[in-house]
Amino acid sequence: MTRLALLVIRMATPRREREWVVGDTVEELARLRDASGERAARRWLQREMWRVLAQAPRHRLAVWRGPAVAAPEPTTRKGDGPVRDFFQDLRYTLRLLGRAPAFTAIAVATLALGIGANTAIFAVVNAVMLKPLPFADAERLMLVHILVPERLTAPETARAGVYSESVWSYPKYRTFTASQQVFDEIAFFSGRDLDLSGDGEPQRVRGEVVSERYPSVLGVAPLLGRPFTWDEVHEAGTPRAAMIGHGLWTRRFGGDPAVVGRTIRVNARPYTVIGVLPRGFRGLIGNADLWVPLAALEPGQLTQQQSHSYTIVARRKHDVPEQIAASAVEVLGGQVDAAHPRRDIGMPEWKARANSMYASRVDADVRRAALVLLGAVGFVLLIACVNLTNLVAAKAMTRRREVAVRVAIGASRGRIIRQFFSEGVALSALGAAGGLLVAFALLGAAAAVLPEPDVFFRSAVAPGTPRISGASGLTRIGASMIGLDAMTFVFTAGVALLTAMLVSLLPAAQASLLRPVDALKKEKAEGGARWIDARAVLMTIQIALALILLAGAGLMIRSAERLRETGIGVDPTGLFTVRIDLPGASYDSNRGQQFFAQLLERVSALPGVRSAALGLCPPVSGGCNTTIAWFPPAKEPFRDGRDPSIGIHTITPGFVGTLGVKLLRGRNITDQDRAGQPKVLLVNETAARRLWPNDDPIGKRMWAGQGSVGSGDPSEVVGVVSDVRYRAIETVPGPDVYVALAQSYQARMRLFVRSSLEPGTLAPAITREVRAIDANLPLSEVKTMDDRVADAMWRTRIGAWLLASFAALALLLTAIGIFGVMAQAVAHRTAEIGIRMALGAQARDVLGLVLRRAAIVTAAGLVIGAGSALLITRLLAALLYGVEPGDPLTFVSVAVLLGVIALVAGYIPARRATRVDAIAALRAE
Amino acid sequence: MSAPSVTLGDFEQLVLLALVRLGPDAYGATVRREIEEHAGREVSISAVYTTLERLEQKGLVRSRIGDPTPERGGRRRRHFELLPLGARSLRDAYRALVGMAAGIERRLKTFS
Repeated sequence: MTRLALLVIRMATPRREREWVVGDTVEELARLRDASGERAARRWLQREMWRVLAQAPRHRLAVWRGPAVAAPEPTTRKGDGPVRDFFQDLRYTLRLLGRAPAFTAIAVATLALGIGANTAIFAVVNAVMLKPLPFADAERLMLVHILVPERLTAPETARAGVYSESVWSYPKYRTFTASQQVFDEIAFFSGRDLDLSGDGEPQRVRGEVVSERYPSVLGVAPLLGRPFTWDEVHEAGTPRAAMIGHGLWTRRFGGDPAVVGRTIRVNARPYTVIGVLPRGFRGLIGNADLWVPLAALEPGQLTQQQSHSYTIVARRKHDVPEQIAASAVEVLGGQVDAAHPRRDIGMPEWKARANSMYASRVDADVRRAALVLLGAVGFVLLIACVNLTNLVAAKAMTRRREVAVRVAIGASRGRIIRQFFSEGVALSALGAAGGLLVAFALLGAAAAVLPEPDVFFRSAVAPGTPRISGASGLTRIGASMIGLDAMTFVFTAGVALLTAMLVSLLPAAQASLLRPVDALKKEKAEGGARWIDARAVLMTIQIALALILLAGAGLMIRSAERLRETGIGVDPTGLFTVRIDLPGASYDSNRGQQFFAQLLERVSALPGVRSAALGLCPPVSGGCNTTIAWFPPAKEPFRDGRDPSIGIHTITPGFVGTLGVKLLRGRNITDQDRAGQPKVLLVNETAARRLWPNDDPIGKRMWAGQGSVGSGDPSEVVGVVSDVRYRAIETVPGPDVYVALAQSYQARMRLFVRSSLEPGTLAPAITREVRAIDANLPLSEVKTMDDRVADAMWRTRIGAWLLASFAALALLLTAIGIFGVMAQAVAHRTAEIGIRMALGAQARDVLGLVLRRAAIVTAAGLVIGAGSALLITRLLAALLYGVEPGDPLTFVSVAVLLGVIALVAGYIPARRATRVDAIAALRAE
Repeated sequence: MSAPSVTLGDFEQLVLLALVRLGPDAYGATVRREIEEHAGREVSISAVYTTLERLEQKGLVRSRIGDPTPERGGRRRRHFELLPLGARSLRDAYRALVGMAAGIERRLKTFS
C-alpha cells in the first residue's frame, strides 16, 4: 500500500520536481513513523496521496502556465470563478479526449452524423418555409384568388359547398383594380411555355405573361432597360416587348449589354427586348426566364370575360391591416362576379379571397413531409445520444474514485457536474463541426441527384388535399434559397448544446450522487445498482424510437411498392413522348393538320419504330383538359347529382394501338373520320359507366366543351376503351372522351412513339424529322414513358428512401448500443460467471441468466415502440398509398427484425463471456 | 519613493511566514509541517513547492540544492531562503492585516 501510494505521488508530480517532492515525502513518512507510529504514518501518506491526486491537474496547469497567473489555491474552494474553471476543464477534457482517440473518434463520428442530418433537413425546411421571401416588404404582399366551387376543379373528389382557389380573367382583373382601395400596387402574372427562336437554336422556355406593375410590385427592378408600359400590356397592336432573365441573358446572349433593343422571336412573332431582370429572379412561378406583356402574347384574352388564367399579386397599403384587406377582397369578389355573368349551369356564385404571401408558401402536404422528416431525423439524433451517454458514462465509471475524492475534499457538486458538462460540450462541439461538413455533403449530393424540381410539385400526393394557389411557385423560390446560412448555424449550435446537456446529464448525475465512501471501496462494488437501471431505461427508449422509425420506413416502402404495381392503363415499355407546340402565328388549323399528318408519316417510317400517334396529354402527368359534357336533345349537362365534368382528349387513330389502350367495344377512330365527316368520339369505361349506367354507349350522342365538338351536330360514340390514369398514379380515372384530331384541331399535341430503339437514338431521329418539316420548331418534354412514371412516383420514392436511410442508421446505432452495454454488463459479472461455470453451470444456463435482462428490456422497448408507432404513423396517413398507417404486416415484420437484431447484438458478447476461463477470471479479480 | 513590494496571496503569506520561522534551511517538508501545526491547514508537499517556485520566479525567495541523505533514498533536498523583496512584501501584508484588525481583535476572536 505504501509503495502504491508513493508510486501514485511520483507519477502525479511533474518530472523536474520529483526528486525533492518524493524525497520530502519519504522523509516525512519516516519521521512520523518514529514520532507517532506506523498507523499514523500510513494514514498521513494515504491522505497525502489523495491530496496530490486532487490537485494534480491544476498543479500541472499552473506549472505549465508560469508566473503570469496568480497562484492556484491548493484546496478547492467555492466561488472560484465558474467561467475560468470551465475553460480549464475544457482544456483538460480536450487533452483527456486526445489520449483516448478511439473513444473520441466513435463519439464524434456518431454525433457528426446525427447533427449533420438534422442540420441538412433543417436547412431545407428553413429555406422553404421560414426564410423571408426575397421581395421588398414581403409581409405586405398578398395573392388574390377567385374562389370557384370545388366541383369545377376537382370533380372526382369534390365536396359540396367547398371552394378552391383559382385564377382571374383579364376583364375581371380590370373590374377588381378599378374598385379596390386597400392595395397600393397590383399586378397579375401567369406561367406560360414559350418558344424562343431566331437568335440561335429554337428553345422552349418557361415564362410569365404579366401586367405593367410586375415585377415592381415585388420590389424588383430591371438590371438593364425598363419595365413594361401600360400600353404594351393593355393595348393590342402596341409593338411587342419582352424582358429576359439574367440566366437567359448570360446563356443565350452572352451577357451582352447591347441585348436591349435586339429583336427575338417568341412563339414565332418578333419581340423587342426592353429589359433584363436581375440575377436570381425567376418570377413567382419560380422558374421563369422570359416575360411578355398580355396584349403582345394573347390579345384575344383582353376581351374574354370567362377565360381564367391569371393570378393577382398585390401589396397592401402601409396603414391597411391584413384583416381589412381580406374583408375588402371578399366584398369585391361578389361585385366582380355580379359584373361578369357566366353561362350558369346551376352553380353557386363565385367569390374572391386574398392570402398573405407568407401564408401561401407551402401546401399542406409539403408541410407534412417536412414535419415527418424533422421528426425522423430528430429520433436518429436521440438514439445517437443514448449511445453516447452510455459511452461517456462508462468512461466516467472508471473515474469515479477521482470524483469521489474531489467531493470528499470539498469540491461542490456543481463543480463536478460542470466538469462532465465540459466533456459533453467538447464532444458536441467537435460533433457539430463534423456535422456541418456532413450537412454540406448531404445537400450537395441531394442537389446533384434531384431531377428537375418541377417534378416534385406537379402531382398531388393525396387526392383531395387542398392546393394552395401559388404555393408551388413559392416553394420553388424557397428551394432555390437552400443553403447553410446564419440560421442553420444557430440551429446547429442549439442542437449541439442540447446534445451536450443530454450526454453529460446521466454520468454527472450518477457521479455526483455516489457517496465518496462507496466509490473508494473495491473496484467492482455494487454501488452501481441504480446505475444499471438507468441504462435499462435508456435502452428501452432506444429500441422504442428505432421501432417507430422502422415502422414509418416500412410503411413508406410498401406505399412505393403499391404505387409501382398500380397499372396506369398503358404499356410503358419502349414508349417515347415528345411535346410539340405549333405557334398560332405561323400555323393555322389547316397548316397544322398538314404538319401533324406529315410528321406521323415520317416518324412511322423510321426504322425500328413500330407505331406513332398523337395525343393531347400524356398519362400520369397531372391531368388534361376538363370540360362539360352536354346531351341531346336539350343540351342538358349530365345531372343526377353527379358532376358533368369530363376529360377531353384529342387523338389520332394510332393512339389506342401505340399506347396499348384496349378497345373494349365498338371501333377505333380511323382516318375516315375527317373534317366534314360525321363527328365521332370514343369514351372510356368510367365514362360509359357513369354517363349511360345501364345502357350500351355505342351509338349515343353528346357534345363536349366549346369548339367544334361542343357545337353543331352532336358527336356519336363509336367505341369504348379501357381507362388510363392521366392525373397521378394514385388518382382513380375519371370519365374521358377522345375526339379525332382531324375533326378538332389542337396546336399543342404530344407525339407518342413505340419503338425498339434506345432513347439516345430515337430522340435525335425524331428531332431530325421535325426539323425537316419546320426548322424553327422547338421540341420539349422529351421523355420516355418510364421516366414519366418515375417522375410521378418521385415524391413517394424519395420519402421512402429517406425514411429507410434514417431507419437503417437508427438500427445500426441501436445494435451498437446494445452490443456495448451488454459487453460492459458481462465484463462486470465476469467473476460471477466464472464461479458459476466452475461450479458446473452449463454455458446455456449462464447465457440465459445474462440474456434474460436484455430480453426483458427488448420486449419492453418493442411494446412501447409499437404502441407509440401506432399513434405516430397516423401522421403519415396522407403520404401513404394503398397501405393503412396501422398495417399489421409491416408492424410485425419490423418488430421481428428489430427484436432479432437486438438479441443477436446482445448474444455475441454474452457468448464470449461463457468461453472465459473461470480460474483466470477469478485471478484477475 | 518607497522600496518595491509585491501583493501576496493568502497561501503565499503562510509559506513566507514559515520561511521566517524556519530560517535558511527550510525545505518543502518542514514548511508543510509548520503550516500544519501553526495554521491548521493540511496541504500536500507538492502544493508547497509549487508556491515556493512561484515565489522564486517573482523574486521573493531563492533556492539552492542541498545534499543527498540516506533517509531520503539518496535524493537531494531543495532549500528556500527569503529575499529582501519577499521580506518587504511579507511585512506589508502583515501590516495590512494588523491595520485592518486593529480595534476589533476581541470581536474577531469571538466569531463562531
